Amino acid sequence: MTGLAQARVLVIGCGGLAASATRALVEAGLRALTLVDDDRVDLSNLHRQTLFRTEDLGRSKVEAAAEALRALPRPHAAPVQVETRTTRFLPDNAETLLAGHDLVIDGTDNLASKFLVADAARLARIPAVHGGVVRWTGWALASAASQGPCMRCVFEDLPAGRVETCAGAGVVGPVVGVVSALSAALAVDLLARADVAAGRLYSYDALGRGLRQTRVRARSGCPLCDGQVADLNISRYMTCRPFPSNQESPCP
Amino acid sequence: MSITVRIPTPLRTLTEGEDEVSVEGGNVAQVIDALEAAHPGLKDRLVDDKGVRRFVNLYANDEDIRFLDGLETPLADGDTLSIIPAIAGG
Repeated sequence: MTGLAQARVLVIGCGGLAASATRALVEAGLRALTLVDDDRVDLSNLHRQTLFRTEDLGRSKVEAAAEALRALPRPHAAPVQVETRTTRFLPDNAETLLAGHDLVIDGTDNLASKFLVADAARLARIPAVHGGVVRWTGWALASAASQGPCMRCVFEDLPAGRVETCAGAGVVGPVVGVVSALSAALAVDLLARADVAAGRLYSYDALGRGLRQTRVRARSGCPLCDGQVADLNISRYMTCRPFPSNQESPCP
Repeated sequence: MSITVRIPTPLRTLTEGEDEVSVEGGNVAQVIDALEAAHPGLKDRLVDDKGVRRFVNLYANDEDIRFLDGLETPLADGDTLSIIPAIAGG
């Protein structure tokens, strides 16, 4: 398995979940990373997307993040190689974007993209760190390249209704920081010992419950593990819509 | 048998903000029915006519009920049922 100092990591989504994770990995000596996002820095991002400053407003997120990451201290490592891709991660560019990377970190902000990342990473046999945050809660999960539980073993499929997102329901900055830092730790562990790291589901509740770890297992009948998901047909990712904050979500 | 149910943030609108509630039940299905009686609307958020809703996880103590007996998973006095949904944001 590739170690951190040799690894090239693909970070999909350059918002809150990516911020602390990329900072930690770069400062720990990661060799190279590629940032994927087509968004620009907005004022509403700044409380949780900590790679950005006020003067970055309106800039490309990947360019602003790359600049911030390249400036981080690395006293015991060569300068980090940061590449940027100003695009969304989509079924038709997934394979190309994944090529040449040793690990994927999902920093996207919607379930359709999260399932797409999970499917694409497993089909490309690249280990992945998944995560999500909304309001006061979040979760993170590590999955190995080709064996053991994947995200679909745990969460099965997109809900048919609407779900909350950070943009609609809001999110508390420290919750993003906790889950993002966890993602970095899982990434380091996956690169070092995939068989141990994979299958750990962390759930975090900032309102009293704290952090909880659950060991998950590969699920019989999982469509991704069983080969039913053999391509990235876009129709598989079209059933879920963001849910406006002023309406009650029919989904948890 | 008294079961402690841990409620995730998105569902606390149905439990008057409580993050933990206690209900009676001898298995997961009975606990969900008891939840619905005490907090109408919760059952629909957890199960549909096919069983536990996709992208919702129910843990009996620390075990995913899909690897136990599903909704028929027995629960004992003092057990905990945790609800862990997939969350979208990033």
